[in-house]
Amino acid sequence: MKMKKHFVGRESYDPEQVGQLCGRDEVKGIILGDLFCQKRMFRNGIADLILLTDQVLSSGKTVIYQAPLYVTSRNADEVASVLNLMDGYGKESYVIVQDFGTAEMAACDCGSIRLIWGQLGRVRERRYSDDFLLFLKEKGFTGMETGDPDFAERLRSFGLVPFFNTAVLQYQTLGRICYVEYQTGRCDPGLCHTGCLSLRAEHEEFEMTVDGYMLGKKYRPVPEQTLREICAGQNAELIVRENINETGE
Amino acid sequence: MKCIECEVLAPAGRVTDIVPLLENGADAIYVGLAGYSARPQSSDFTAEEIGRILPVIHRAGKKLFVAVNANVPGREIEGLCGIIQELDDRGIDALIISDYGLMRRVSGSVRHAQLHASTLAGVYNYRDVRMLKQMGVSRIILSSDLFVDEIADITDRIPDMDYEIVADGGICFNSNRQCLLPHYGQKEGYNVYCQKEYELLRDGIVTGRAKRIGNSPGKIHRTLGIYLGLGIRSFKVEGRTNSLDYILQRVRDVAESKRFYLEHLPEIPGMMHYIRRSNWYGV
Repeated sequence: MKMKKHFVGRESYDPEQVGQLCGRDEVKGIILGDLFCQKRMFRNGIADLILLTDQVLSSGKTVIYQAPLYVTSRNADEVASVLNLMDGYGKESYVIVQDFGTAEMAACDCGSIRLIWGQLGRVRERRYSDDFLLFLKEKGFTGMETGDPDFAERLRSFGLVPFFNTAVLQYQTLGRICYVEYQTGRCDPGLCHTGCLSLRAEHEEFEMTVDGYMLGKKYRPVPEQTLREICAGQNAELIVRENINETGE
Repeated sequence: MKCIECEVLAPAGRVTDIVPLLENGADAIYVGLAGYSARPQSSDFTAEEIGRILPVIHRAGKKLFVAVNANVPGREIEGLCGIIQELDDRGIDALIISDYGLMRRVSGSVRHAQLHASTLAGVYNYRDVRMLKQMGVSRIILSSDLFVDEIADITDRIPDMDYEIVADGGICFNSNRQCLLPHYGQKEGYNVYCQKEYELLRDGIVTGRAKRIGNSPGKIHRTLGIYLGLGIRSFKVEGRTNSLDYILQRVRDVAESKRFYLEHLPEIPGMMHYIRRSNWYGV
């Protein structure tokens, strides 16, 4: 199937891969940033994210920055730095955010960046009221991720651009307190980070941790017929999820 | 003298749970509104049932909160708003809401009930709290995913807000409800809905059994004082689908922790210095 010009989202990146993506005519832009930990996506974490953002924007392609699902006091400065970097280029760029506080930060401080509401924007609920969509508009959002053609149509009716994913995220382990606190009976951020990094070093798969807890993602591809209809239609951006199974997910 | 405010918030899944919960240390009770809560409808309360239990709770000097934190209709939200108005007229103490659109609409119409932002609203930073405060929200139910220092940052920056944490239960590791793994019905004599045994799947193939995850009973004993110090005012027991015996045990545990810390906090050298201004009042 011939894809319309689209954005690409991968599970991991290095400069060579990004260079190849930037050289592809059908690629409009690249999604950079991991929901949880930049170390999962980039070998050198935030440093790579900044370098690759620079690389993509310099090539004339668009960057969609995927802000972390949990923007807290621990990483808010980091998120702000990436947004400021993108804003500094003054080129078309986007940020996928999951909370309104981060959206406010982006809208106030980085005027050139457009806001996309992420699929995991609300922790559990996947239903969105009309009032919620109006609220998004008022808060400056221009689009929202989706994998549902009917919902894409509904977004359009509210003047929001659907960012249609070719594969929809189905499950994901989000409990940050999770296994370390359970095992140790106390919350120790140092231990937690160590646990995550050890896991990463031990084996690249996030299917199951050493403790038996599941981590990782699973994607459900959108039916080809649906994609054809999306590609044929107007007013929807397409996000092609590439290499989604390469990390064992 | 500084007095710490500390509320034990208990879940009710049946009308008959109310009196035992009040007798076992609950300062406030929360129920789900039938069809609009994040639990099965069998454990929810209709507006009529809420009307029946409310006088019982108020006569005991306690509070009733109603969760409207799921299944908000995509369109035609007016029907739900009508029910909310009715509940407000009856005098419920707070609405627990997750949908920002509904929150904004309701904040302009309710006269009596306070607004609590559900954990499902996904509040992770002080900017989120600031915005919700501007929308008329008076309490934030903090995400179970936040680390202690992240909570401290929020309560430090926005001290004039009520904060609540899940003190027992509720740490479901598939917290965004996108899990497709099998769920089991019974465990240790109580109905397990959220904290299930999981089997791990990879492309439909079972790869192993996962452990249950969640706070072990009574764990809050070790940490409640810290959370009081951070400015947390309310300590919620989760699990209104569980049996009454199970819930009562947890409520007693948290109530006991509350009694212990309120009695002994001033004796811990330096501890009162760290109690957030938002969480004490002079007498």
